Amino acid sequence: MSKSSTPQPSNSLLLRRQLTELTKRPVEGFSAGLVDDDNLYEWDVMIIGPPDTLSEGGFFKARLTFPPEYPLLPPKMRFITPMWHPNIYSDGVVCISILHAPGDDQYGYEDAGERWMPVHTVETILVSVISLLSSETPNTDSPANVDAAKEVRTDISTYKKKVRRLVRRSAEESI
Amino acid sequence: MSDSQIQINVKGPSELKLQITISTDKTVLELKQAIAEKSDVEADRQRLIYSGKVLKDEDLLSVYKIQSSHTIHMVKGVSRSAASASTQQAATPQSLPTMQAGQNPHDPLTQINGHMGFGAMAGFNPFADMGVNQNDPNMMQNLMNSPDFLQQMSSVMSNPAVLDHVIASNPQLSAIAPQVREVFQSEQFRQMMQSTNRSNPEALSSMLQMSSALQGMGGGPFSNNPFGGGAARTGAFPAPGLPSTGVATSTTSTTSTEGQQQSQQPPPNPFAGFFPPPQTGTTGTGALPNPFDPAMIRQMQAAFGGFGGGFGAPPAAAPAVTTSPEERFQVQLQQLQDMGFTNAAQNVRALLATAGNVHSAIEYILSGGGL
Repeated sequence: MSKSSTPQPSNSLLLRRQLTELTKRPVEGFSAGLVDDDNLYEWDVMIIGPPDTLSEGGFFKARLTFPPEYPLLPPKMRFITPMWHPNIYSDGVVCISILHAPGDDQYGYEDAGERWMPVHTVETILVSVISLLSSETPNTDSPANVDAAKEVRTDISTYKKKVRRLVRRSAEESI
Repeated sequence: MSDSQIQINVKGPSELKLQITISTDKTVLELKQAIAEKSDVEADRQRLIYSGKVLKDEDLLSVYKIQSSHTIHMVKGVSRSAASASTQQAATPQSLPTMQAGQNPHDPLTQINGHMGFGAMAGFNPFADMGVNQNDPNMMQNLMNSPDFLQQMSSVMSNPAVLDHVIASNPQLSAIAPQVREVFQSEQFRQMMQSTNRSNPEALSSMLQMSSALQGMGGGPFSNNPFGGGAARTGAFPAPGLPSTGVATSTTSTTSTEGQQQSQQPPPNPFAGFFPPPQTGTTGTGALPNPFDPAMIRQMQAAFGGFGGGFGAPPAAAPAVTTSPEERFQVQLQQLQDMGFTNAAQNVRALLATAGNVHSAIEYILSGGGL
């Protein structure tokens, strides 16, 4: 209990440690770094489209924003690259259960265990997001992007075409 | 020169791992060539990614502050020449499209001059003398969906000569020339220009975010920045996907209106954890900070204001709760104790970890957390 009565000092240490680890021994599939060297709470993330999936070849840029209360509260993740996915809002904000704060079940169906826990790290979040991008037919329950979810259910081939087009564009922009 | 030598690890496809020793005053392209010598991936097809960014061929390695023993990702992509061939064909014959803007009826820029009164371009000079048709909201979208226009726009943006012309001809811009260049050459800006299939509110909302980010870093001179018009407009615009406005209102509203807020407020409220809903079985809300405490609201607003302005100075933000966790979670701690969780230190940690939710805290403890 001695170590956590105020979150500030310990969370900058926690973030710094994750950053060092990720720059030295990065995880397959994504790269992360600070937007601005003086601000540990704002991260640039580049997700490499996972091979053998719809997203193969894509380079997806995103921003992770950590609240001052991290790790008690989850960071927010927002794609800068345009995305088309039932679990990603049209403004790019990622909607997955592990990024939802514990305590309030505002979506009405999530177990506390599925939601944010302080043991999650940038790595575990990104692994979840990469798996989100990897699935052939994404989960359309309680979608963040209703139009994309509808398209997955009713016209999967158009959905896939749209995703492929965004993936191609993200690859062109990475040059 | 020799002290700028660094040793970089390269993590490539299919378990490929390389170590390259290179000087930080070399360019990214030279690094790619060094990688090409040690692998079978030609420099042209390599994409190097470090610190969440794709490295640009012409930049020096020092730009990215890569340090010794750091690892960069290498991904095989399509060769650069193949991918950009089509755009180059279109771009070269008309390297300075602004010069002929307004004269050729088939030139997409002429269309802009005619109709683009609202949104992105209002305020920068080549289009300053445009006739304004504010009543055609579809014009911008049509333009954004036209591949010709996008291609030309993007070549205009990436052409430094055009930029110089724009900056030189506008005194307001020339005062802040370096920032303007940065903005126009930034990937985000170009991407914003290129995003077809996006409706106007979204384009405007990302513009608003950029504008506030600029104000955050640039300070004074940006009060009359070229995006000011777009940003001001968004206020009146019924933009559904605007996180900043949605969140800002919810901080001052009560928890009872949260239900309505959610429909228009996509991101989960990160502060909701402070107000565990009563149905969780805790009776301890009294021990928690009063949600209407003005100081608390101010802190939240400060925190949220930070999001827009590049998350300004988080270390300066006061800790949201100042009482000790034992005091705050008195009731919950008692509950845990009564349920047979007797490790007080672990209980406190679990409650801190779960923002005071007893249910989550129990799960946390049972899964071995907080030991």
